Amino acid sequence: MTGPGKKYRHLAGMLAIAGVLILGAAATFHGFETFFGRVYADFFYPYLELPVKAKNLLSAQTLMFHEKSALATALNELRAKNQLLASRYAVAVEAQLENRELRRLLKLDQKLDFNYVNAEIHRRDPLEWRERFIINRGFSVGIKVGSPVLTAKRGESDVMVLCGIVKSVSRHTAEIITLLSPDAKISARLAECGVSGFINGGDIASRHNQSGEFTVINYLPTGNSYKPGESVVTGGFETHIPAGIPIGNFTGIIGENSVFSNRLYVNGLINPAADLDNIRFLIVLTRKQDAVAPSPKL
Amino acid sequence: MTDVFILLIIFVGIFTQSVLGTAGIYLPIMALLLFYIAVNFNIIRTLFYALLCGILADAASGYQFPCHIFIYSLLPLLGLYWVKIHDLRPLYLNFFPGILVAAIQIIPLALIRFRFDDPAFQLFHKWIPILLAGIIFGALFMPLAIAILDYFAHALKVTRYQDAGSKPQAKSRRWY
Repeated sequence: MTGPGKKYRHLAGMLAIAGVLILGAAATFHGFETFFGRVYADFFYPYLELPVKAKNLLSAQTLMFHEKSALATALNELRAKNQLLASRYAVAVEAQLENRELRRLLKLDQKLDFNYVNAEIHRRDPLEWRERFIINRGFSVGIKVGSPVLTAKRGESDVMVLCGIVKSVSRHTAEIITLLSPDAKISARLAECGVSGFINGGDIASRHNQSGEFTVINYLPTGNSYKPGESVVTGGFETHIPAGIPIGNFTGIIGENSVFSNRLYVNGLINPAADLDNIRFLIVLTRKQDAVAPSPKL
Repeated sequence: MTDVFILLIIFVGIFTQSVLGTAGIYLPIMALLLFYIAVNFNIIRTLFYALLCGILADAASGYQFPCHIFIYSLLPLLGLYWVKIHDLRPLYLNFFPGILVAAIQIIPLALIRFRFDDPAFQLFHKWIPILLAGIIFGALFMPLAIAILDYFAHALKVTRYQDAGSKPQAKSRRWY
């Protein structure tokens, strides 16, 4: 075969090879995903860490533009705040010791202690800005899958609230999914009425619209009166996440039960307290010891 | 040398896109650079690198559906088509593939990731600004990238984008 026929055969062969390559890559993607994810996370880590270092350097250098008296005042305020936090910590340690002793006397399982690892954002996808990001700490500092991640409360830099949980970890980085991600399934408790539910436990997706961003709390029992504005904290159902960490405010029930429905639960919306748009510093809570999850007492 | 040049372009593309992404700016840099590679080099080689970039991008972004693999796979075909139908010499003319590549990158992602709980808000506050910014950036970046990369390509004695249509290899029967 000569001329155009050979040319078309050549083109068809080329397209067939291209098609096989594309479909092969797509089909085997989930097998290679972890490997390439690790390559990206660890190979590019030193290069992608450079902008973070440059930003921190710039941030430190801009402090030099402030007047010495202003810096001295800020330093004194920070010292006073540190002393206050240190004394609060001393009281908390005393309470912790007392709790440990009481648990021992009552023969209850010991509560697990946590380490606090500070981290910064290493990488972020603009298309998933509020749902997911990567931090610059990994399993080399003890971060594990499921560890809770805290950040400053919106408008109050002193109060730490739950921002998300660790989804996957590499040596130097960890992938965090926020409360707005449908994969972040966390137990939660309404602080005032004491009712527990599960964040992202069902199929209803979190919402981001003109009135703000909301995550969904599922499996709230029917028959309770739920007040909008009630604070929501972690339930402590997971061994990695301690109870009582602020999550946000309850906004209201969605899709209430109709008269003919026989469902035993309702779903509600929570407005996360974390400012997910502007995160800089984060704290990751990691368990001190890898204890086996306590067995339920029946 | 050709593969080193391509790998360097890919590295710079991934790095720049990641750094800008962390700053909250979504620009289709990698797709535009892959189009440059697609015009310059043969289709199977470009496809191999496009698939590599697609897998890396999907693995890094954690998407369940490997959309970047399919999006980046279209670029070698677009590059082949562009070489065949257009004279690549006037640099400013390359604003058009810049727009096209940006649209190819952003529109499928918008269709996959569109959320219907508040469609008007999603459309006007998220996807249209991203698409417009991407298209404008593509139109400006493509001629600029060609000028800069062709300079390095000439220095490294690698095929230049602007000679791609008339290069001897284009008439060769070799596809690998």
